[in-house]
Amino acid sequence: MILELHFKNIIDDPLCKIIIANKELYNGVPPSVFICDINVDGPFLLEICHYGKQPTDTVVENNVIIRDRSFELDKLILDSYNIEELIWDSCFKADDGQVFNSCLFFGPNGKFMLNAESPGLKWILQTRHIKNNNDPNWEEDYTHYVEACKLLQK
Amino acid sequence: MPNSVQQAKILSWAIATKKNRNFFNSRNNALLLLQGSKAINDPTVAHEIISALHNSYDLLNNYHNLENFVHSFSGWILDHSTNVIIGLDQFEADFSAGTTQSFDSFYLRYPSRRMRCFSGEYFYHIKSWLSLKRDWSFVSSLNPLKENDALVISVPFCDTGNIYSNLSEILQECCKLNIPVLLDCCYYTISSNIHVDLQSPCIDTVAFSLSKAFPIANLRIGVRYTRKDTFDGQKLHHSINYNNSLSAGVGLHLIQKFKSDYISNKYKDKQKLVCNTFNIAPSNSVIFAVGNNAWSCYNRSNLLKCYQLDLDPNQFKNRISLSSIFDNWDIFEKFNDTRTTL
Repeated sequence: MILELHFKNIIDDPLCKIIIANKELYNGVPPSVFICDINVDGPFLLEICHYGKQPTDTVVENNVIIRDRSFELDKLILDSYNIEELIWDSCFKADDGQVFNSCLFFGPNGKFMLNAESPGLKWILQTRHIKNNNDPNWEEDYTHYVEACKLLQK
Repeated sequence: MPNSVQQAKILSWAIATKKNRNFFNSRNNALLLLQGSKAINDPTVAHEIISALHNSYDLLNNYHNLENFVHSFSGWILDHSTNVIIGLDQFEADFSAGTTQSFDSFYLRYPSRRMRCFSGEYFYHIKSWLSLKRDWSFVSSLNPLKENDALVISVPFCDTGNIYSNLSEILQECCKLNIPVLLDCCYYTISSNIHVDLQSPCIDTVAFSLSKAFPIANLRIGVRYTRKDTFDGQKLHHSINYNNSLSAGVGLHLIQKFKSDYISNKYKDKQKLVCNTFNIAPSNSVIFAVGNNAWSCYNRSNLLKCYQLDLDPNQFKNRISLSSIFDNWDIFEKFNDTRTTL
């Protein structure tokens, strides 16, 4: 599976770890685009840990934050398919125990978590249908698509 | 092993995916590829179209193309190895923007008649009659033809690409009831082994088009035949050469290069092979096959949506378009080689 993570608004060199299925794939300042090809099949947990931030990394003047070490996850692409709205099915669990659902902002130290599956396309189609009940033919179409791709590769 | 319909779907997905591997982009194409009635993109024909259009400015300004095209058309359409037309000489030809202009002219010339067609007919008629608020209905045993009707029927018939089962009896009935008839022969140029008798006096209009034989549908090239005493707006424009001479020039070039049976002869063996593969019935029109109830996914429900018509798609045949398969024959061959392992 090819995973693509796009980050934006990366301020003051924050640190993160990208972990898939308990395997650490990256450790460092988040790049604007992170791409990796990993061997994973079936359900997996994507974790992005924000760590190493100190109280001094947040600058406050007159009760207003004027500078804050942080970053944001912009989009997540699985096997060349942007998961779009499904990215909001994630949560961010701060180290102090607070949990923020649908949060793509990495302000406090903590861990972003998203449960997904490989193959990415199959997971996207299935999840969208479960949520919206509007694509009853997804499985049949997906199967035909996979067969068609195999045929074209022969 | 997947059944025939599933195999056809895999093939259409493969054709749709060939140019663009994205699932979502391919999805609509995969569904629509085996529907509709688009012409085969025959490479030899395509080469000649490019060649004709190379001189497009000259074609545009040469109105003799209109005369020459219409004048040459009768000989071209009659020169067919397996089809026969009788009685074309009883009509006068003029240029038509596809068959559609001929339909519109027919509706205009019979404004007070109830328009009639059989279930399965080309949806354009129904759409037009509804939007014109014309009185119309399908012909059926419960709702037969009556005096003051006007009938449109496609020959070969739109729903199957075959001749409508009792066409000669229908025409006899129209003669008896003094009903003017428009024969829509747009599939004639892709058909084989059909016999069209135009001697019935009820036949008012016969419309032909090049759009189904050659991939030039957007150029709107057709010829209409009407009785010699007809002089309507369409014939007026023809008489003063006020038509699309560029289209006529391309049409003239194509009928000079290819016989009227070129497409049906070239592709009939491929049609048989595809039909055997999927266990569907070949039509007399080479780009079509007809599937049984299992093929309802290829009925015309999408087309009904496109026309914004509220009709039950199950009343129509499952007419499968083979043009895209012919256009992607390499994929079909690969598919055929490997389908036993699917």
